[in-house]
Amino acid sequence: MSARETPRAGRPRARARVWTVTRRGWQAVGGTLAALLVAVYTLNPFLLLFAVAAFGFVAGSIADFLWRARDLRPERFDVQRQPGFRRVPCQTDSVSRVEATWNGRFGFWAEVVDIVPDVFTIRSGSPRLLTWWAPQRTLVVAYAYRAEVRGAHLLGPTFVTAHDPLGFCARSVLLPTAIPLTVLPESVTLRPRPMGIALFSGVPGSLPLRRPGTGSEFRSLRPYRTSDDIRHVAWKRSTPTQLMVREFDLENRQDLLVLLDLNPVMHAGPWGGNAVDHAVNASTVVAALIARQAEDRIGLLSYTGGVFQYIPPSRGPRHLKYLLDNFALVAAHEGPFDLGDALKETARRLRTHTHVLLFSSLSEPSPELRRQLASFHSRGHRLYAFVPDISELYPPLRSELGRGALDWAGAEEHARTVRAVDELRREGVPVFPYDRRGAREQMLRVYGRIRGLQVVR
Amino acid sequence: MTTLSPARVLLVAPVFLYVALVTFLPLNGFDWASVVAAALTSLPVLGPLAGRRAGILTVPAFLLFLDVALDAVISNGFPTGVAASVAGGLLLGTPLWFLGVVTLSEREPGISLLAAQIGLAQSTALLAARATLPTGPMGHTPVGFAQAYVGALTGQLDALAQLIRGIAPTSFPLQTVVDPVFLVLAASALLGIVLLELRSLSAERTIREASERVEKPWRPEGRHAPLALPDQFEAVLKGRSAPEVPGRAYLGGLAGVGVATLVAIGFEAFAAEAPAFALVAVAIGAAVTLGLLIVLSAVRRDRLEPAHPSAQVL
Repeated sequence: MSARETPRAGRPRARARVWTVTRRGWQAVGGTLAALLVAVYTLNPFLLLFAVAAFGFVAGSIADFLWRARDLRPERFDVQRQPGFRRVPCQTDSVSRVEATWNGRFGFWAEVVDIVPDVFTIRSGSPRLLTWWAPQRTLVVAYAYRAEVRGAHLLGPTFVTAHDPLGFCARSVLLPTAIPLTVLPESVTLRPRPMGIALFSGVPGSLPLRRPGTGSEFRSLRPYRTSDDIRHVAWKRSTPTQLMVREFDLENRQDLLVLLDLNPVMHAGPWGGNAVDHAVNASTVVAALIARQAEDRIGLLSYTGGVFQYIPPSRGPRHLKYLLDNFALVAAHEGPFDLGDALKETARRLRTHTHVLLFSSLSEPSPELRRQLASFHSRGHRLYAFVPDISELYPPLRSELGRGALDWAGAEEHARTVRAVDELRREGVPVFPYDRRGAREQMLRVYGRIRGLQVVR
Repeated sequence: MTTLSPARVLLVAPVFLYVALVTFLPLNGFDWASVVAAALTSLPVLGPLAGRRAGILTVPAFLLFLDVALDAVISNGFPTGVAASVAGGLLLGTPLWFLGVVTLSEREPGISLLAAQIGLAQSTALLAARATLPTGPMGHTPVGFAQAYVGALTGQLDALAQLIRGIAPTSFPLQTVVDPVFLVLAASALLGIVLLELRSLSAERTIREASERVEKPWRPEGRHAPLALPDQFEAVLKGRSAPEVPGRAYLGGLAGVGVATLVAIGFEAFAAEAPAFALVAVAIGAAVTLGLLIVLSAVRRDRLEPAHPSAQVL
């Protein structure tokens, strides 16, 4: 693949100039020019000869490099990044490989560097290669990496920097090898332990939400519709003009919705370990379990200052992939989180009785909470709240400096969290606080209760 | 401790040691001030033992120079008394001071070359002073040596001033210094400074600047951790290129040496043919070369970066 020349959308082409001679090179030029002046002062023929030779050496070295590097352009390279994974789970090893062939006429000292995001740990190999690059030679830069933080990242581009052996000149060429990489939450790769095996059972748990369907327990009678199974017609209750059918409870298929608070407060915590990261990790555990079990459905609603994104509950590999990609890209947005309004908007969108798994810092007051919660429950939904104790998200400071300030802020935040949790519990909502150990265990406990399973530790 | 290449020391040190020796040997009548001044001035030679703070060893010489210069200004003439002895010691220590600076500036070839050239010019002045030591009881003392040195420098300046005014000067004190041993050792020192620089370097600074332009900061030091990769991954990693050195066709930085040789021969030939215009030719040549380097080394950025840094294999 050759580098292509397409205009960069929305960004004017840079016309600025880049110096090929390095600071070290200019120092050498300046130094030898000064040496010439000193020699001219002495008028000593030998010193003058030495100074002229030294200046000639520096100028000659620079001129030699400029001549060799005159066709050093992106178009002169054939470059290809091995098409590998575009979706990588967090904390999982993967490899990257870039192949480039130099089609110029002269060889040069090359430093090839593939730019790796800061949150990637190099596990083996190196994204950097310092070598002599002869014409028509193909260089391969390969390395294993581990993504430490979920999100959208860019792997690449690759820089080829040609320089002379003295470091007087260097010219960097950018090769178009950048690819977007979605780093999925790490929970995708976790083994669900014995729970996953038990999930193939259709036995309802202690907290199922009932809704009409093809279950075993009688629910009610209703008029016949053309799509109904003829075997469910209640002949004794039917009349010649109105057929009636028996309706059953569908208790072994549950709908779940993750309600995510994207308020910036939820992004408190270390990079890769903030409240949203823990929420996403816990949610993806359940999503992965549901994918294996193929019975329940799961969706996502994120809220900040209004509904930000809504993915209705569904099942199937395609839906799970879509959901995981969206979980990977969840990020903070400015705006308040009003729990009452979030519940109202959620209830408005849900068609069936749903377990709503709320992840929120509860940092904003919600004046209409009691009324909205009552309305939410009356529609047959059930709310479970997972609240981060932000004071416990940060690891303890190693140094004494600032520890007192952090302890004070942590105590204030902890008191606020306790008040918010107590208030929600008084409304009858089960609340599960979580800290930097994550919300996975709490989430599994809730889902286990829904599905009638015991979490095996 | 600063890393020091033994080859560099072996090539650079002899010329400065030689000059220090030939200026020191004919002298006698040292007093404590000149000895202390010479020792303090020579301190940069111990730079490799001082590690990162080696630069501070160059400071005493500057302070001594300041002291001598201040005394000269106050007395409106050559320093007298202790200051004169200090001036003598300071001059005797300068070859070793330059040796220290040249060895310490190994990573900066510009500074290294400049220090070597100024050191050689200073050595020439010292040799010229040695050849014109005054007679009498004070002649072969550090003070007498310092007076001879000042005489050589002022004689050179007077000759240059006469030349500029269009008067043919009788002699140039520094021009006439021709010591074959000194010349051979000086040539080996310059070659040592230049040729030992030829090696593969990391262009880390250039890469960092280029990566910052595309808003993708490069992290030079990656964190490595042991791992056990699947076989497929291992196969990918095994195919990566190893660093190579150029083949015989590439002469490395010797192109610069070739150009230097040609320029030196050309200069000598021109100077022999038209000595009156040799300096003018050097000045014009240097100015033109500098202008060309400035023009040719600037490249438009959009020629080095494609319109879009993303790969086509999406």
